[in-house]
Amino acid sequence: MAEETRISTAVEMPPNQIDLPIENMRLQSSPYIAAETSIPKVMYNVVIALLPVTLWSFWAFGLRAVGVMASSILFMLAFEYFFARFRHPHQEAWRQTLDGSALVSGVLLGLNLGPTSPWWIMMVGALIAMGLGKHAYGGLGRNPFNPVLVGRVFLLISFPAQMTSWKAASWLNRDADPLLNLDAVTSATPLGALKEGGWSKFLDAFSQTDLWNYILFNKGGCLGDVSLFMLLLGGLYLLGRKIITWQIPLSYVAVVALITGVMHLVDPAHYASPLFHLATGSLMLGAFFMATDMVTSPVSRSGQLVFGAGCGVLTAAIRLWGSFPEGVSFAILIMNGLTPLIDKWTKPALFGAVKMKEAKL
Amino acid sequence: MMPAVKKVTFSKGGIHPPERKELVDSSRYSVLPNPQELLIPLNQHLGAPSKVVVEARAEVQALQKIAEPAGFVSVSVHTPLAGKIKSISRRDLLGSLGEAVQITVTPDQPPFMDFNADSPAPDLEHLSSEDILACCIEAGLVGMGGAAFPTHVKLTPPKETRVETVILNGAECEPYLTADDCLMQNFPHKVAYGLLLMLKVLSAKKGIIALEDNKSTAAKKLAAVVADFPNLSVVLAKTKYPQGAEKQLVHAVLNRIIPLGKLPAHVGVLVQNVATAAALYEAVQFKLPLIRRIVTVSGGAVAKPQNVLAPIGVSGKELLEFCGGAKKEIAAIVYGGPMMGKSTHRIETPVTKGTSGILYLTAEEVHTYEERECLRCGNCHRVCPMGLVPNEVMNYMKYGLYDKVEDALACIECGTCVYACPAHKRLTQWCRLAKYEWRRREAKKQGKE
Ligand code: SF4
Ligand code: SF4
Repeated sequence: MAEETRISTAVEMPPNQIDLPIENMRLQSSPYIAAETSIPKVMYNVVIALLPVTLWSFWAFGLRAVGVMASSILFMLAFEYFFARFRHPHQEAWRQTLDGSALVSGVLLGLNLGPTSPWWIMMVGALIAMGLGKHAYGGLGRNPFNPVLVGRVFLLISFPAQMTSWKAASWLNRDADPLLNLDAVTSATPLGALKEGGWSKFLDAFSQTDLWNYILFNKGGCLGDVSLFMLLLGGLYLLGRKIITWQIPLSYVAVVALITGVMHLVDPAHYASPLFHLATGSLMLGAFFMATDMVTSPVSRSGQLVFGAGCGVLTAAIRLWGSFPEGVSFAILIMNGLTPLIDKWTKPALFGAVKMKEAKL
Repeated sequence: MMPAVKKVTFSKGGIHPPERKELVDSSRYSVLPNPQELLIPLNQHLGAPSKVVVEARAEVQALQKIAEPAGFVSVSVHTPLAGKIKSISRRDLLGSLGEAVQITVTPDQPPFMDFNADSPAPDLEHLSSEDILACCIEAGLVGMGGAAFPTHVKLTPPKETRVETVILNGAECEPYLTADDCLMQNFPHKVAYGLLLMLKVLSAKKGIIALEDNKSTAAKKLAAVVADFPNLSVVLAKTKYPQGAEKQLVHAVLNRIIPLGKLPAHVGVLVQNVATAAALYEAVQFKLPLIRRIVTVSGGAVAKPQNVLAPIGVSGKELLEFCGGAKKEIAAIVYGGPMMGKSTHRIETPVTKGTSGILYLTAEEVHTYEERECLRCGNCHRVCPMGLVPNEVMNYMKYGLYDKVEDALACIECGTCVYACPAHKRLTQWCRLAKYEWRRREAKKQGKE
């Protein structure tokens, strides 16, 4: 066809001749719809999951626990804004402060502290968590280590005295007025007692029924350790909402149970029963809420299994043979450091990739 | 009678977006009155753009061929209506530039051809596979599910492969769209006969029509039709996105996994869209070129959402007006489904052979979230039907590690990952970019060697 018969070969695009308002029209790449989800929604769901145990700790420890929790949250939010402000204008820093991640950190730090902690413990913890744990790396999503655990371990190493003298849940001692005698009654944590005396000696202190009541509802220790039942309730909520996957908690708990179980069989007088190990310390808090922190755990399911198992091995090892009574924080932090490697090793196969190998043969 | 009791599904990933198919009554369609003007793009299919064979200002008859295939992977194009060629010029069609033929439609002509109400069975005995392929090429058939890949190319699979099963894809897993559903409900015979013709071409043994279980009426009607043919069957798949993606559908229906980078033919399967099958039947039986299709016009902004039988080349504006215009402000115009379609700001973008729907979405429907920090939550990976780790691809791309993004080649661009991401990362777009970059580098490497 002759070229001149064409009216035009140039790019000719007619003006938009519509009477519809198009200024707000979106031109974007597919897809155009998205699930009703967002970072604040994820974060606030974690907070909801932590509510039962938080409220229960208020009930058990009284006003001091409220104070610890409130100051922990406040310091967390304040430092989040402070550090975010270094890199962002006010509006962006403010948005980041309110996106829920700092709130979750605040609640988690509070749950990791004892009810008698002085106010500066919360301040230092939040400062380290937000400064060293999170914003030093570039804020949300970039921190290799769980910020709360960074804060907590810092406190544990720097101020062992304040971090390890615990207040027993107030109503354990039914004679004591929960509010008045707060500082009067302090007891070591169950794990601490175990480390000192061994399992048989420890058992003497409790009758079986008391023990379970104690474990499920009013354990001494930090705020978050007070009620196993409430913790599990929150964990199940997160699983149900698909915010966390079952891989990390399950492999973590199973491996701890396995190792402590074997040791208990070897020497029942010295090593505690695995059930006790599962029920005490911050194991459940760690397994459901700290190890599952998305930012610092592997992405794939197989990677998560490896990660949880690694946490379990380290926790059990520290508890059984280490010099600290509790190993959850250290275990998770170490595994956090290994996450990039785990991600690399457990890279999931693509759909159709297995067959491709066969096809090549 | 429902033949399929067990509902099949693909295994990896997947999501359940709100279907919003109820906006449109899928049991019926309306026929668009003849438009005054048509704009028929010649690059509306995958492959080489067709070569125009008419001249500007020439008169054309209805169903006349206006462009010929420019190679094997190309198709001919016909005009649905008689008229006069107004211009042949380069236009933008959803982001790709190509020639388009503008036709002023002659007024007072009979309406463009509706579907033939009666569908006699094709005379399979006296049709050779070459005859059918010739009809297919003559009619300019392309895959009508969206990708618009020339059908005759698909029907000639590579020599070393042997197709024994043809799956007709009626999953229509994209939200909003009901065009295929509508076609299957109204013309189950055409679909089934089209399938028989495909089996004949490939000398394949088995034909399966696969639908999502939200299309029970269509499934019932199809089941009644295929009951007469022992080599045909209807399979119900779970309603789950992206059930209709080729690899996922083959896995769901036959439990076969297509190796990466291979065609379904390598596992003995061919997947075609149901509308393509119906068009093939019409091309063979009535020698009718592909000049019209059912288009779902839907979305929250449309006053009367419905399925419309529209001629190829009619402007989207005409369709919108036919459907009562916009009752709310349009925030996005999407050609195709909301997960994989293309958006445009040109309301007059024409209907093409691959346009299964035109959506006019309101601000509430369309995703307008800003991107936030990636939480490494792994949602994108868990929902990806291809098992990719999209956030990893994104990070490699962001930091320029282009040699690590080979995985992205497996991406089918289904959009599932973006749908599920709490940070609203445009992961699909990163994967597209990664594919592009990878291929560019590969080509460069090969050029050097
Ligand atoms: S879904 Fe979004 S936030 Fe989660 S890992 Fe993927 S990209 Fe990151
Ligand atoms: S768009 Fe690509 S990366 Fe995203 S879910 Fe689909 S196949 Fe996976």
